[in-house]
Amino acid sequence: MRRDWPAILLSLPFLGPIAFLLLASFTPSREFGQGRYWSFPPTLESFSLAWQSATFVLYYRNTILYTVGLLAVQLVTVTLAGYALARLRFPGRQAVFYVVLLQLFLPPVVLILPNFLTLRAIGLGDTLVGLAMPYVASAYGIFLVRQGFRSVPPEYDEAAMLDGAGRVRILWHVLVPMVRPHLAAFSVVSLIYHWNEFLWPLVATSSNSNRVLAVGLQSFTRASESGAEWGLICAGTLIVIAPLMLLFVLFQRLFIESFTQSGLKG
Amino acid sequence: MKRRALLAAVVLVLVAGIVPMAQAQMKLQFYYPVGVAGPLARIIDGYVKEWNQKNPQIQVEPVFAGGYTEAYAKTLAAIRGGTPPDVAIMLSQNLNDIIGQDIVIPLDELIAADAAQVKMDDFFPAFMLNSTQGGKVWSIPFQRSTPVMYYNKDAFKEVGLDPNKPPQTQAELVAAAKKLTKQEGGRTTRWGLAIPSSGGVDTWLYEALTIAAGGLLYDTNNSCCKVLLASKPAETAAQFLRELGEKEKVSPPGPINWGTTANDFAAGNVAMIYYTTGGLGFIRNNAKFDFGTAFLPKDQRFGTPTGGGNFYLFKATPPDRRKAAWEFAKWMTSTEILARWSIDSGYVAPRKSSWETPVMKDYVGKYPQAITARDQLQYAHAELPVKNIIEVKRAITTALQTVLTTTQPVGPILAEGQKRVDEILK
Repeated sequence: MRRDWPAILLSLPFLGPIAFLLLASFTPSREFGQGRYWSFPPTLESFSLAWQSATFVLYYRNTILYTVGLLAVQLVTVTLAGYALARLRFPGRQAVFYVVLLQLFLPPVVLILPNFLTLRAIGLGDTLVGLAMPYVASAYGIFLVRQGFRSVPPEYDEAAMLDGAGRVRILWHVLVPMVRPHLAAFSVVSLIYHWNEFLWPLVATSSNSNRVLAVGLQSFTRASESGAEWGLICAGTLIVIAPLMLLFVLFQRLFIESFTQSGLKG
Repeated sequence: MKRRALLAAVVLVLVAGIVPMAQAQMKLQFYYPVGVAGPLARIIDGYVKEWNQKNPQIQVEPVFAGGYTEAYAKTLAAIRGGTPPDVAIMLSQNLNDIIGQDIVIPLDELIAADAAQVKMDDFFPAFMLNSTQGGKVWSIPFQRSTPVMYYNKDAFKEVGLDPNKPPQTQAELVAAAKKLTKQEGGRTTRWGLAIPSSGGVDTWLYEALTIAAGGLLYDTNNSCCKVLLASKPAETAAQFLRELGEKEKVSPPGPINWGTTANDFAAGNVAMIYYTTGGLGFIRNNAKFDFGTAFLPKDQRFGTPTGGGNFYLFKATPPDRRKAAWEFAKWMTSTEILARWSIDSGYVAPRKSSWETPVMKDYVGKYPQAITARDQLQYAHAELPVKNIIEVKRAITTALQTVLTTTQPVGPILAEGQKRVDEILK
């Protein structure tokens, strides 16, 4: 128990907002406004108000399609690209790698307008596919997976090759299982990032039928011209982050293992 | 053979019937921002649905576009991408930036053609100030607000102040605030007054204080490009704001956050606040005490800036669609919709006639606090209208924060801020 203290201390700044979120969303808004931060029995009034404020079922569907679909494609692209950059010898390999690295240094906000224009030009404006398009080749994922492949001794490849396996077979049966922690770490980052993303989906989509959770949440929590309705804002936020939190609680061990392992080897 | 001819004839008639119908039906895109917590997006969608039912030929698609800043960015992106919205609500204050981008059209011709129906003189003149530039009307007021003073009537009674006579002047304001400030064991349990100066609309209330001091934050002769931060009234206002916390000790020291001010008032932690009339609903729902609203107290004069968003039409829209978009904007800014929108959202209905509708009379009868903002409009001025407004506001905020967090003389701080603003506007 004593060993856990540093960890608990470190987590406090992160637990604070979560505690506030829970208190504010379950306390009647009126009481919370008057400085009573706890009430029994807890109320669901804020949740019902938040739920009515946006078409959440549709946004859930879109968000899941967007994040999970994108991740599935990303896993293929980053694995193949990472493998090529780690194992294949071809002229300009280093240059290609630097170009990928370069993309890591570009803040995504800078690319919103050019990406938007490109999507319009190829007819993918205001679609979920278009929304995912700019992220299909993730520089971060490619870099992470490449480092993963490089940490696997080439003797594994050679042994499999001696047994008559082709490149695809080696990749699939030998290498991918060994970089699983890297892929898992990347998946977590990608899922969370795209689940929470706001500005790009706001610009890239227009019809309500293509909107995602983060945009829907913002549609009723803006308070620049009114009071901050903490109950409503927090209940809405909980509705949006609940699936991710649930996932994390369920697969907590897996997440942490994947991060520590990929970190050690990378 | 006959049958086939008949079939062909039927198909022909059908096609002939469908094609013109398809042409007659127009689909417009309408971008709108949301600045108030609550299901406002759904309320707007509801109005649009009503319009669509009444006007099958002009179908409008409502597009929620974020807060004001994001909505503006999204509009610009869409225009550059070649798919501009047909009609949009954007910040009234942004007019100079919007004209600078050359994306909107003046509405005078459309208004002239429909004068009897649009009745522009029905709008409160104060709300038209940020709509006009160079003698032309560029936007129609829709969701507008002004700050008012909210005060806790129960606290007034408690300390022996007349709850029906809120302070009229800043001297009375400070005197009342002193009485209302309550200390227990060296700790302040209730502040007398809070004028938020950071977060949200950070320069708005400072602007109000500058107006009260007899000045304006910009030069009316050069309203696009000249800020008057290094001016006597601006200095008086900054000094006043600083002294509330530092000298009079009736406000929490330092910058006061916009976002939590309404909560603090509703919780009884502060007895008087300067706040947007848009917060009325929130305070009504959350305060357990009796409260009133009043004009912002005067120094040299009463006064307030206005705020909020207007309807704009775009240059890139082809004429036939523009006509349709105008019809829609006209309907959205009609007496009846503006009255309903005011009640649904808390904004001030910008048409005088909206206040004469039965629904509005009913509402005002129940909540007389809503009238203050309307009556204060006679003293209202345009909100800081200069271009590059985001950077300008940031520079002013920086100067103001320096005033509130240091003890250096106010004059030089504002002079420094003025220099930065001048550079931004060069």
